[in-house]
Amino acid sequence: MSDPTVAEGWVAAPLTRLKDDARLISGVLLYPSGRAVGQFGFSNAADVMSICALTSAINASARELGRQLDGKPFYEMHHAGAERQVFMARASAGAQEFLFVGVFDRESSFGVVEIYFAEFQKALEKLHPEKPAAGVGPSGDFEGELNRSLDALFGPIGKR
Amino acid sequence: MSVVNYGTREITCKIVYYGPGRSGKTTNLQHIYSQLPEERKGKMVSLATETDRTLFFDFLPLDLGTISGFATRFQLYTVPGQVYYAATRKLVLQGVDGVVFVADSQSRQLAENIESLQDLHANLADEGLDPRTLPLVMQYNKRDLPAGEISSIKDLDETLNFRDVPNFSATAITGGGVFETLRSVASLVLSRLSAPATKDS
Amino acid sequence: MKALAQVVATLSHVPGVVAAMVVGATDGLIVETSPVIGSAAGSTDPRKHTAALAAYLYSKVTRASDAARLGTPAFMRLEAERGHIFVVGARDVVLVTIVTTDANLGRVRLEMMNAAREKS
Repeated sequence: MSDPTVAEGWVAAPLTRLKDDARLISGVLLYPSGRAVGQFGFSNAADVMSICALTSAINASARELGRQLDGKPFYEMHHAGAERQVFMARASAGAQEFLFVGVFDRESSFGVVEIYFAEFQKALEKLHPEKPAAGVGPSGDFEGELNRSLDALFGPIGKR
Repeated sequence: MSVVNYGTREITCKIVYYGPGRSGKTTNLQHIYSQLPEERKGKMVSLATETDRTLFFDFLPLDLGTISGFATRFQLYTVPGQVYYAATRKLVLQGVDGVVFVADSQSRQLAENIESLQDLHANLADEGLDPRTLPLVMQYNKRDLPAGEISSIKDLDETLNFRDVPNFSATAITGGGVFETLRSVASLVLSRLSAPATKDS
Repeated sequence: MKALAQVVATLSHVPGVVAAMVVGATDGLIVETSPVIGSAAGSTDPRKHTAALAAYLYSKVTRASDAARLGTPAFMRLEAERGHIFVVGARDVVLVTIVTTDANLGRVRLEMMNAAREKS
C-alpha cells in the first residue's frame, strides 16, 4: 500500500497512521469546499477530484438535511456495500474543519475504522494547518501560455 | 474560490453550468467528455434520475496541463434546472469561479430563462459573490431548431445579457459552440489569477 | 433464544468479569453491554475499543482456523499482563468479556459457551 500524497505536509503522519491502523484501502482528507488536503490509494488526480466533489456534496446535503430535520448536522456516515464499505466523517484542526472519506473491505470493520478515526481526529486537533506557502503566482506570459494551452485543448475559437 | 496552491504548484477552478431545466447543461458536459483525450479528463459523474434529468449535479474534472509552471485543473459542474431543486443549486454554487449560463433559445422558454438567471443572481448573492463581477458567459443553445421556434440572438442578448458578457450560439447536441463557450469562461477565470495573483483561500 | 440483555447480565455477574458485551461479528459495534465494574470516574472506557478489536481479531482467528481446516473456533482467550479477553462466536454476533487475572477462568468460559449455545 502506498504512502499518502499530501498537499499539506502536516497531515502526512496522522493520515499514514490512520491508513495503517484502520487498514483502509483508500482515503481522502479534504476541506468542506472539496479541495483535497491528502490522499492515499488513488493514482489519478482526476479520481481524487471526483471523490472530493461527491464527498463535499454529500456533506453539504447531509448537513442541510440534518438542519431541516432537527437543526443539527450529521457527523458521520457509513455505507456498507457488498464487498467494500465507505466511511465519511468530520475532523478539525484549530478552527478549520475537514472531511474524511475512507474505503475498507473485510480486512477491517466499521468498529475498527471508527476507533482509529477517533484517534486521527485527536491527532489532528493537536496539529495546526500550515499557512499557505508563499510564492510567485502565475505571472510572466501567463496570458500567452493560457491561450496556447486552451488552443491545444479546445482548439482556437471558431476553428473547431 | 480559485485555489492556487504554491506548495504543490497547482491551480484548481470551479465552473458551473447554470440554466433552466432541459436547456442543455448536461449535454454540454457530455460533449466535452466525449471529445477530450483520456489523459486530459477524469470520469464524468452524473447524479441523475431514472428519466435522465440531473438530480444533484454532473461533474467533470479537466486537466489543462501546465500554465506558467502551475498544474491547472478545472472542475465542471452542472446544476439541476428544475425549479424545485433550489437548495441543490445553491450547494453546487459554493466556491464557484465562473458560470456558463445555458439559455434555451426556444421562444416559449424565455420566461424560464429569465427566472433561472434571477435565481442565479440571488444564489450568488447569498454566497457572498457579486453577480456583476463573477466571470460569466452566456450560451444560447438549441440554435438548430426552426427559426420560427427560437428567439433571435439580439432578443436573447437584450433580455438576458445586460452585463454584455461574451455570448455564444450553440447546438450542444452536436457540439456546436460547446468548446468556444468553455474556452471563453476558462480564459476569463484564469485571466483573473494572473494579476493580481490570488492566494490560497 | 435468551434476550441479549440477559446474556450480558448473566455474564457480568460471574466473579472476575469486568465487562461483558455482545458485539456485531462483522462491524465490531456493541449491540449490548454491561457497565464496566470498578472503573474510576473519568477513566477511559475500554469497551468500544475492546469490542471492535476483539471482533476483528476473532474474524482473523476464524479465517486462520478455516485455512488450517480446523473448522470454526469455539473459544478465544487472550492473556495479557493485567487480565484476559474472552471471545466466543454466536452466529452474527460475538460475546466478549474483559476478565481479571484472578477470575475463575473455567467458570467464565463455561458461562460464555452456554450463553453462545443459547444465543444460537
